[in-house]
Amino acid sequence: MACCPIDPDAVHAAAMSRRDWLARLLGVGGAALLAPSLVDLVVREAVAQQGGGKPAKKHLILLWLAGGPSQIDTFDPKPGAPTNGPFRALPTDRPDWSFSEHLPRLRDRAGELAVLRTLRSTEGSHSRATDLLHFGYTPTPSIHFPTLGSIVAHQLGDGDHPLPPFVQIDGLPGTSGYLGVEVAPFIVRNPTGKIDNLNYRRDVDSARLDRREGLRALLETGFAERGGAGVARANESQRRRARRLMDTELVTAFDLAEESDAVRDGYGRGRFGQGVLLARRLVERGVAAVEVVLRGWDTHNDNFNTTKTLCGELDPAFSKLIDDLRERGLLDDTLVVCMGEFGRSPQINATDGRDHWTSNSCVAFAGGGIRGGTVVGTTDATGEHTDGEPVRVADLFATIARTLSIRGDQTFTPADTRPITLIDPEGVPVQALLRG
Amino acid sequence: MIRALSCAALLPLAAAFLRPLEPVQAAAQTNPSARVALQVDGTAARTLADRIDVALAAAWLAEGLEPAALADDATWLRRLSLDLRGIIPTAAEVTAFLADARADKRDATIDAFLASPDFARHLSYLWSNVLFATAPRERQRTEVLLRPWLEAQFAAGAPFSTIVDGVVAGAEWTRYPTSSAYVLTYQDSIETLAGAVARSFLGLQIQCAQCHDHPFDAWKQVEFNRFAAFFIDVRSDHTAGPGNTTLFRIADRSPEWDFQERLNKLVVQARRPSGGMRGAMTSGLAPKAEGDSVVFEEDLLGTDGGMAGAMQARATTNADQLAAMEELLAVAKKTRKREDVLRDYGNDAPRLDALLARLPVEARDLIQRYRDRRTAFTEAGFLDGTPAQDQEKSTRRAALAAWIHRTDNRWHGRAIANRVAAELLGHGLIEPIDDLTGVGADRILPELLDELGAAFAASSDLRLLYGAMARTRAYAAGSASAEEGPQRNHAERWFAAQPMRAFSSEQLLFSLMRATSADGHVELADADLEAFAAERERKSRVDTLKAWCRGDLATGKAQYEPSIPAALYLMNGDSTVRTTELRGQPALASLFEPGPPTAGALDQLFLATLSRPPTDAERERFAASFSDPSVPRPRALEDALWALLNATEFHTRR
Repeated sequence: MACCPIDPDAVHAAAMSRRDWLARLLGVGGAALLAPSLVDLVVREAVAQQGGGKPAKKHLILLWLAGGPSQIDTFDPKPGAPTNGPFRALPTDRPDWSFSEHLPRLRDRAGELAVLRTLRSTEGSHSRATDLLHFGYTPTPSIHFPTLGSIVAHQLGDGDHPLPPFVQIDGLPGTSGYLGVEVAPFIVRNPTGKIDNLNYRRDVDSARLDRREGLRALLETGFAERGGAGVARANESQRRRARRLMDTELVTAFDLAEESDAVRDGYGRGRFGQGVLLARRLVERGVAAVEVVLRGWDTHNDNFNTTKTLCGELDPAFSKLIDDLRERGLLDDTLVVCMGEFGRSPQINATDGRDHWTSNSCVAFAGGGIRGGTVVGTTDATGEHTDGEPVRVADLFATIARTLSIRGDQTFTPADTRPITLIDPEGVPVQALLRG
Repeated sequence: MIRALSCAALLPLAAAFLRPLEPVQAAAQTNPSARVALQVDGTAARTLADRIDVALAAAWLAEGLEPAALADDATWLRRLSLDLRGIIPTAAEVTAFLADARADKRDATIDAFLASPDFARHLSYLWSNVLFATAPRERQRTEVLLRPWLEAQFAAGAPFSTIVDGVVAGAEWTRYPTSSAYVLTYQDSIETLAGAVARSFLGLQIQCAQCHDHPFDAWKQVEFNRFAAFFIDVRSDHTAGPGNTTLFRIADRSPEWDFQERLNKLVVQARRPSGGMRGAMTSGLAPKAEGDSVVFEEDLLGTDGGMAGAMQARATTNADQLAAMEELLAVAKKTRKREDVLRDYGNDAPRLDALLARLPVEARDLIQRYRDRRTAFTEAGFLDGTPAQDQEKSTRRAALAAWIHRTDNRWHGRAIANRVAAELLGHGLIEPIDDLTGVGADRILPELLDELGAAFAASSDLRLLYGAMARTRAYAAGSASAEEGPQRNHAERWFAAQPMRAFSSEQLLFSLMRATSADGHVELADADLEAFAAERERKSRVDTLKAWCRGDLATGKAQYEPSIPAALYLMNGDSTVRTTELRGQPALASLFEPGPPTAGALDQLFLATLSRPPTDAERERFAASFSDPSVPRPRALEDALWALLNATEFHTRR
């Protein structure tokens, strides 16, 4: 069902022989059962072949729940309260911590999760709230803020690595803003489909492409002499990256058919589950940041059926991701963050829905630098108020930065604006979420 | 009555280039109305251009700047074509222009472009982008309904005030919403709608005042609320049309009407034996007809029909609650138009309290909603502080549109002039261009902007602004510069040099299509507004490119930005190697044959892509690439075309 993103006829010959070699080594048709160490080997080989570029040492995987998930129906149930709705709560070892009945696998992995229940947003519209939670700053039209994945890619990615430092799967519009094109999101619309235009055209091989580039180089030189040098430079750097992506065998990261059916089923066969599997494959191969989007959480109507369905996608994918990362020794270096743009109202509206709710929402973390088995912040019996001070978005970003060992205090001065600090210095990391 | 003039019939584009142009004038000056300019008025544009030249010359003197040397003819023509038509010129157009010895060929070309259907199409994309820049992402699908309407208006030479009227106040019954598609887009949020209208047509950022009084901003929350109140009655409406069709419109419904209708639905719902709740009632524009209307709703507006929230009763309504609602409904039905439905209870607080206590929560919410809307209704007011008159309140959107394009509106003319300056001269006289009153805005030459704004307001004709700015010395300046950095920025700030600018996604798509077509013709226009399938396909192709272009919130435009997917698109996509149609060009024939190409053929290839002849070095190198006997035809041509279309120069407006 999934199409292989590599058109065998069109693949650069050198890369092809390399894969043949790999297949022989494994004794299977394709690298179906790559053990972690082998992937590691391939990464190092490929990077060495291309002359430099290190895999990122730490990684971020952002599971973005677009539309704003209901916190009560996921990570902050209110059993017995009139606001709870029909879902039961699954207990954990801790009396103050439970999960929705539709997140059973995540509940079983509570020891590896940290849940923040008191994030406060300040934006109530989808677009602005989505931007806020991706920028760490209140969006303003005059500043092109970079999105979270680009920030991480900028700090953790290696510009010489053959894969793009930030991959966005089924993504929302978001850009690298003032950080520039080097860390722009590489957008994969469909995780099981082909990457647009990635392959050499059927009648073009590497030599022919080089010949074409030779002709173009003359045009670029002339253009640069006539004043276009600045524009041409930016263009050139991205063209080089594109070509490297065409040529690297690491690009097989995008080929989910290399995974066994069992693994693919484990993540869930939906777009999201397969996207999370792709995220794991990318991180294994050294990509710094991946964002995977699960849409449909804007449940103004029919909240409970919808949320149940969506939890059915989130629960296996997130859980299997934790297992796989742990198994591959990557969990400590990979921060997984699962959140949406805001929460949903404790009150259930006339159409069995829940409306936007900014006062408190939940964020679930796993992996690198996070203290597993932690729940931070409590809300009152109906879930309408936080007990104590809520956590601000700036604090969330400071926390993410801390776990990834990103300093974030670099300042940038985008054209015609005031200097901006990469991560809002107002933010204070939430210590309770951090591992000692 | 103004008769729309068909630009297409008046001046076929290709013909315009092959023969000298008559000075365009008088043809349509039968209507003396100063607000209607059906024809491009070269004289008025020249006069205004002189005013700009004088103001800028003084500024250059004061700033110690020398304007950059003039751009050569080929560069200027390409720039003009991109700015006025949104597409590169054809090879034939470049050749004719370079050979044209007339002293006034630039002015003639400006007027020809302004009269071409391409100008209308270009404007429609620009304004569609502006209007939808802040639209909720999931609602931007309605753009496919509005853009063709915009194009039709511009092509008919309609004054810009027609656009404002249609977009702000469109209320016509149509098979598919056209101008009113805009209001439909924002129907869920009149605040966003109000903010977008102010931003687009007035250059004002008022939406920050939606939530609070910003200490540093000119706008107060009360001013925002009064402005937004002009849209408070907006709702969609439908009726049976001819045959098995449904007609749509955006209607303005009073708070009383809205209250009564919603309450009635609650009552009907509660009366059902089951009292069941789900799926029974949706308000607004539920499709009654089969066929494409349904497709329209689901595809363009989303599965909920894009309509304001469905009203559905809870299952728990009891007999007493129903009785209370029926009592309230009876009172509401007695109310005359625009009378307060709660007036019977107005002096009898205990009686109202008693009723409220009996109502289900949904009905109480309705009362709150009604009161909010009624308050807003009584407060509607324009941004200059004038309150709306009673008569204006009942036709409130039309009154707002009329106020926006009044000749003495203090922002509209300047806002539009500022946008055109940004398009043609590189940036606005106020930046950001949609924040005229912004505290941190960068302003230069305010008197000049006043003058341009007044000229536009008087004519409501975008062609006057485009015609004037394109005629200026600043527009003719070169972009080539060895220097980068502060000095260069200083020169560009004062319009002493033209900036280099990456193509917008539309310019890139259309220019690629033109460069690889048989005769420079690009099939884009589609007058049939109902054929939104074609428009949707067009939008999806533009959106594909937009996905990896950098979006700009002020213009809604996405500009080509180098990225891996963008590079892959040009390197390996279909658009840069399409040679089949080129076979139709006799001048290119030798490029398909074995043996060395004729010099003319190579020139033609450069003209069709980079809009200039090759340099000597380029001619030599490209000719050599055709001489390699190991490269079969048309591979050499594919390679050459690929190199030209992949060159940075191709997708740069310079």
